[in-house]
Amino acid sequence: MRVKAISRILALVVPVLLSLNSHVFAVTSQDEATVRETATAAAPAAPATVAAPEAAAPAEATAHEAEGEEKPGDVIMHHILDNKIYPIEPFGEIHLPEIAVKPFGIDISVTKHVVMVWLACAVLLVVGLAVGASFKSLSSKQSPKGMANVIEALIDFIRTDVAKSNIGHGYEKFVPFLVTVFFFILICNLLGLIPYGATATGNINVTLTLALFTFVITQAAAFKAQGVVGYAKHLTAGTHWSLWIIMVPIELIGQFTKPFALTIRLFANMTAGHIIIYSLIFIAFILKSYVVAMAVSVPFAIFIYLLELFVAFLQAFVFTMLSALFIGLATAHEGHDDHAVEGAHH
Amino acid sequence: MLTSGIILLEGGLLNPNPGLIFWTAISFLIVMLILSKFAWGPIVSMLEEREKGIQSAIDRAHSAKDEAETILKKNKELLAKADAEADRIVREGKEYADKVRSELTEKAQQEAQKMIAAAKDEIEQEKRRALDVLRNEVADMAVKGAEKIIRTALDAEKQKAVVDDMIKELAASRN
Amino acid sequence: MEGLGYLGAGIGAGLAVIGAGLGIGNIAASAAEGTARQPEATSDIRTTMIIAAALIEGVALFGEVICVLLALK
Repeated sequence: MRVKAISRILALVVPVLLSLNSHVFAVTSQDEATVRETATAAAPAAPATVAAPEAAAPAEATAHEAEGEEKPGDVIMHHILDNKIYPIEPFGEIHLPEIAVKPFGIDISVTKHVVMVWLACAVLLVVGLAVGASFKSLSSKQSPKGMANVIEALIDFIRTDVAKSNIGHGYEKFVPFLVTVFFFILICNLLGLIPYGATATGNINVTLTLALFTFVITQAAAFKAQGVVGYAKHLTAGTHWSLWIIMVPIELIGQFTKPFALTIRLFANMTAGHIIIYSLIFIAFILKSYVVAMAVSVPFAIFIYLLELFVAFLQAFVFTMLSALFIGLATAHEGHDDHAVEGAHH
Repeated sequence: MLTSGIILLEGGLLNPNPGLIFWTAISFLIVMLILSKFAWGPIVSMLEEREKGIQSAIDRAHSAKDEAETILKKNKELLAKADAEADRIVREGKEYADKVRSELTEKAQQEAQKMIAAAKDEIEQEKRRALDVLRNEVADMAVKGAEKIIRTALDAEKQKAVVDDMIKELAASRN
Repeated sequence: MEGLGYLGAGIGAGLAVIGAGLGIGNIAASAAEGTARQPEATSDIRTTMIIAAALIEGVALFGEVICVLLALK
């Protein structure tokens, strides 16, 4: 089956390559119709590959907006940015409901990324409740099976290697948050990698919200662990009183840069991967060449896609790890020897 | 390029969207509350339970090992004691046997000595008696010889024959 | 003059990548050395390495985001 598909693609591509050989790398300012033609010609060949939706998307985007010139940058931004229209490209689009109620003057209508957040929550709830139920029916003598085993291994990893080793004493309270944030980010990242999905974690508002949770929990834990006096003392970083006028603002800013760094890291990582995949695909359209498409765009896009799979796990882990680290730093009672580590993160 | 710039500014990468923040916060909170009650709670408690179970199993194994070691130690001690006891018994038996043997040997030797001494005494007595008897006999013989000599003629030849006779007789009687 | 924006974006992206590459390369080299010296600390070293690499990568991505903004403007 696969061999047949590949041979069909070859049969389609090789004569075109031969005939177009003369102006393969010629960058000419052709009119819109040629671009559309090239794009739509590439679309049937693409479904055999992993990057199929990405390859197909620009063609459809080009077809979608008939009026005016459209740049690759616009298509990329259209894909990455939030929207009130959920595109399901060949079949049309869903206009998401606008919510008329606007509490405090903010618009809380449903957008593409809200849908993805809800989808991630739904997946998380289904998996979590199923695993929880299977654990409840399990006696301590039995070992978990299948999905429950995977989830349990991840939870155990987060509990011992992330929470326990970074927070130390009293880590149990933070385990639910850390586990939820890990799985939430992981599922959001992975949903962005499947066709027709969008990366909610590639939106700075979502990552900002998650980082705000970490921030609030960190501050609350710090106040609870050290009290108001201890917290104030922490801000002076144990220096001489004459240095307080410098140290206190620095420490205060440090409190805010941590969640900010978390926000930007996750957002930029997830956005960058998608921009790179799109840019690689667009190289073929900008150069208007099948050779480039087959030799550069598709293989490199597949490579980046696989890298993105790894990054999806890595960034979920890093966010969780750093959250745990910040909580651990905030609740640390003993001394100020941890400021060297803290300083490295600023 | 202008259009994309406008897109960036209008719905840019870094644009705040309060609605999305609101929905994300609400959804995340709800999911976290539900899951920490129904999923993470049971799983974590199960993990803790299992950890405790493993710890107690390890503890039990350790205590069993300790117990076994003490028993082994005790057994070894008992065995050593029994060995010593046996050694002692054997040694004592040997000593006793040695003593008995030496005693017996000594006694036997003494007995033998005594017997030899008694035998010597007897021999001495017998010899003395024999000598006495011999002396008496010789005296008798000498008296008889002297009688005969005196009775018969006192020639030299006859005297000599008589004496020879007497000696022969004596020798025969002595044998 | 519009081309200068692209030039700046390209140079900036390259510089950010150089910095991040040097940093992460250093981390990887040190981590490999540490693992070779103390194989029993491999998992600890790996965790520290991933965190440090993520921090550096985060900074590099700041730069890349700015470059993308420049290029798309």
